[in-house]
Amino acid sequence: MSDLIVIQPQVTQVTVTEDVNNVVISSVGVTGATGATGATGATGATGATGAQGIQGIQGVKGDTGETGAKGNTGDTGATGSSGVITVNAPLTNAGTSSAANLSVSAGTTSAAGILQLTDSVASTSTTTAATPNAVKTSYDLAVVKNPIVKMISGAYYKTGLLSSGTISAVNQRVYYSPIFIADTTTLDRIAIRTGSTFSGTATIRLGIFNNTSNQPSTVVLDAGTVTATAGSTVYEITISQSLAPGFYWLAMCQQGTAPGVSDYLGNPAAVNTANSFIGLASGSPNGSIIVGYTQSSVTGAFATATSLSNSASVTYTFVRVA
Amino acid sequence: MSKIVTYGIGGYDATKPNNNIVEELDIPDQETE
Repeated sequence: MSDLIVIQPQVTQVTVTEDVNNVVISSVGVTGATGATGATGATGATGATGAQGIQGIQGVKGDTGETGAKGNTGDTGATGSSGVITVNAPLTNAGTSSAANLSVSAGTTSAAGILQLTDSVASTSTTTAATPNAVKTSYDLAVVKNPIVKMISGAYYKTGLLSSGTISAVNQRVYYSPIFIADTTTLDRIAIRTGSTFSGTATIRLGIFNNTSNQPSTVVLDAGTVTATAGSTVYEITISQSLAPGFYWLAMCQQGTAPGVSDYLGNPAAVNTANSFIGLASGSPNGSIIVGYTQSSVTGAFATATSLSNSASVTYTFVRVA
Repeated sequence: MSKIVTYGIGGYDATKPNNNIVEELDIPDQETE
């Protein structure tokens, strides 16, 4: 066995030969990479018990316990006083105060009471009451027979069924022309229109009057005045006037200093007209046609109409539906 | 051609601008005289 070790400048291999026991290091390689971490070792033994913890907080209140047993019956009370029954109409009492026999009186047009319902739409009874069914039957029939003609929003209206021409207005004379409002309507303009021959400067007051006995009566609206300075021109005032169904009178009155020519759109006399609800001027078919009323010597604001004259010629006042 | 002169509520009012005339509009004639 030899102890000879031969070290060469570059070692790449170590060979041990059994026969000669020589170690020959041909060369030594580069140190390899660090190997992987080994497995975790076994858990150590359990440590000693720790000290006692702090006391916990109080627990939630428990449920209510069961109801206790019923107590004993109390002593009998003292005897009460005798009762009195008082009845008011429509209640009646056919018995006594201690043995009542109550009923309800029948209703009449002067006393409250019970009523028999009826579906009749032809009965003239004053001691029965209509059912909603009877009311609906009547309502449906009324709607069919009396359709409401609504005025058109944005459209101008004047008195109906009359011719259109130019008439010369008398200064300080109110010209009333009738108009029928079929359904509750709000008006947003009131207007007049000058004729093509109008000249000068005129102040015209415009308004609406109530109707009483087919004539103008109290003032519904005094809209104020416009100042007319040109022919063939509409002069209008902004208004906001609601009218309930019925007849009304539209009014215009040229006030102040009269212009050169006071011509306005209107209904000239002796021109074809359709009669309104006013009736004829006299009590016979030979009477002249009345298309409106006039009132003279009116200055300033409108007041209740008076001293009216029927007329076959009126200037027109227009209104516009809102 | 005609014209529409529109006053505000209350009509002619010398204390308001343009005497309370709020609009002047030219329109074609729609009604014969």
